[in-house]
Amino acid sequence: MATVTIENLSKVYGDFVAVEGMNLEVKDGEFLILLGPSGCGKTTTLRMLAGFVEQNTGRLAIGDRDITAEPPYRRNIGLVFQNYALFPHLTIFENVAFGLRRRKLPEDEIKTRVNEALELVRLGHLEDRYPKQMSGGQQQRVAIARALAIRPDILLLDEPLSNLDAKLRLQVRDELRALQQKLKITTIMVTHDQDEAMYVGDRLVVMLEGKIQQIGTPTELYNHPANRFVASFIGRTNFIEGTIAAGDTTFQATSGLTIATATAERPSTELVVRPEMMELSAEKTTEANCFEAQITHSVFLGGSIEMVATLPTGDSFTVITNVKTLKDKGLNAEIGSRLFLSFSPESAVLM
Amino acid sequence: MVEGKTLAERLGRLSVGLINTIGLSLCVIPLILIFWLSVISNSVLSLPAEGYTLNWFSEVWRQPQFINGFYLSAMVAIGATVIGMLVTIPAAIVLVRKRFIGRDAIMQLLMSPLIVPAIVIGASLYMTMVELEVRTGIPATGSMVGFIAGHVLLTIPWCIRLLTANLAGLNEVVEEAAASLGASPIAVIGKVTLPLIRPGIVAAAIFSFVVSFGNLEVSMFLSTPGQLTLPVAILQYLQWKIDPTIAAASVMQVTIIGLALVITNRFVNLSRMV
Repeated sequence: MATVTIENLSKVYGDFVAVEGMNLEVKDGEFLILLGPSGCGKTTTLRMLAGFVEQNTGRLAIGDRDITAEPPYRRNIGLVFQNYALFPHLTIFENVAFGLRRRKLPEDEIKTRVNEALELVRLGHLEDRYPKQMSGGQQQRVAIARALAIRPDILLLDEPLSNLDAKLRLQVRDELRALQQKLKITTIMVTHDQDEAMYVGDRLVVMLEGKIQQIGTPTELYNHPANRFVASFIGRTNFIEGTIAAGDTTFQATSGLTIATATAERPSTELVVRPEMMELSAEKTTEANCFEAQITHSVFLGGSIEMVATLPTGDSFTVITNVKTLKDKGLNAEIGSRLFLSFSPESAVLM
Repeated sequence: MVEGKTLAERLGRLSVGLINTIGLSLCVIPLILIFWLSVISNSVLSLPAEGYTLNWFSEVWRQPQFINGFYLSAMVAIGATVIGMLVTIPAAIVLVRKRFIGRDAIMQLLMSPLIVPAIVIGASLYMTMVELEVRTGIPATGSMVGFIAGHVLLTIPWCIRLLTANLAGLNEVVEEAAASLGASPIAVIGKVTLPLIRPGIVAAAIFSFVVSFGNLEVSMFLSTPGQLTLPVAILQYLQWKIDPTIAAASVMQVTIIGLALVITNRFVNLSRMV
């Protein structure tokens, strides 16, 4: 188990900057997520950590061990790939034993460790099979067992759930999280799926165009996005343009709307409100921000309903609300109905 | 699929069937003819058959140039195959896995024996070897080394083609997984890459054997009196005598090559590879 240090890491391909001056400290036992759209540099970062891509500048360390110039086979990193990358010509047992045989361990210890690793992913009974004879979910669990069997200092996961179908994805995701918490192994996972990231990650690193946009826990990122990109990438968001001066508590939207906010620390021209923070009611509420609105769009999503509420000023807000809440309040959320829309000054986050 | 019934559609189907039949016949009839001619009792290679006999096969074994030729061809083919594989496997790995300046040029160079007519290769190899003999006194033409060197040249493009196709189909991520588990570059090749391209290696080896065993054009130039490969021996025999012994010798050669191709097909789907 170990910490990971990334210092001033950069990678340039021709005139494309894949990663630019990245600094990151991963805590011991932490589950860290590198999150971002494709081409944001998250995979390049992971491949530099694994040693498959050579960085242009920067330093990499696991604990006190500088791995900047180490080849992949001396880094002692467990790797799990998107397409499993099992050895098709070897049995499950030999797949898991591969790293142990490279370490020239005695045969009885190899046996013990392979069984241990396969038990962790509950596949001990399938050790004689070949990868082809297993489902995708099973293959990915074997890949996880194979990576863990070498007792790596850290675990790197490259979109490990992307190749699985929706149902399996949730199952393997839960297992992965449980396993990581049980073993307390420092883990870095790359994904473009924000739900997955928020579910398993202790901390999320949101990346765009080779640069870190924000680092934080899922709650921090959701409630206090550092910029417009983070706000739009993590969850759904309403953006409102306008102005507010430092020290002020009133945001003047360009549409003419006035929104009460928490005290602004600095001048700002943009404000975001999460759709879940909006409340609908039949009567005017005492909330500082309460506007009359008309429902112009409504989509039933099962447990919740997503609506667009349009104000007389022309502003449109996406509102996501629980079906039961609506029912309890006896509200009609059909298109055309007139309701009151309110949210607290605290849920109006200034960019 | 539902087949249409208009006149044009029927005519279309008929012409496709006709072309297929003619094409296949052109390929198969000479082969059948050779098998047939090897068992007729006519003393000159001709039709119609006067009777049938298997004597021509024993006649082949009574002719020392065929026996020696068969032995030399086999030795040369095995030698060319082994050396060809030792040269082309590392070359194919580097060509597929590495990006470097001149990579395409090297690829083209290795494929060039396919483009240059074999007879030209034979002639130029002969001149080179004669020059070598004159300057150094080392006998090159007619020697095993000379034959094998010439034949390796012929097998290279086939091996490179088969091996690179196989390597390109092998996902590099599997090799990366091996490296991350602690396998050095040599161990990755030995434990992962080579086992996974085994079908390609087997196919390339058998193809090399076939190309070398059946080669006439290059061997013709490299042969010296008493050192003839089987195809050259057959050609020489033909210059003096046309009897069914030739057909019998050809049947033996076709059978060996045919067997090699059948074995290859068990390992890789040839129609997909070449």
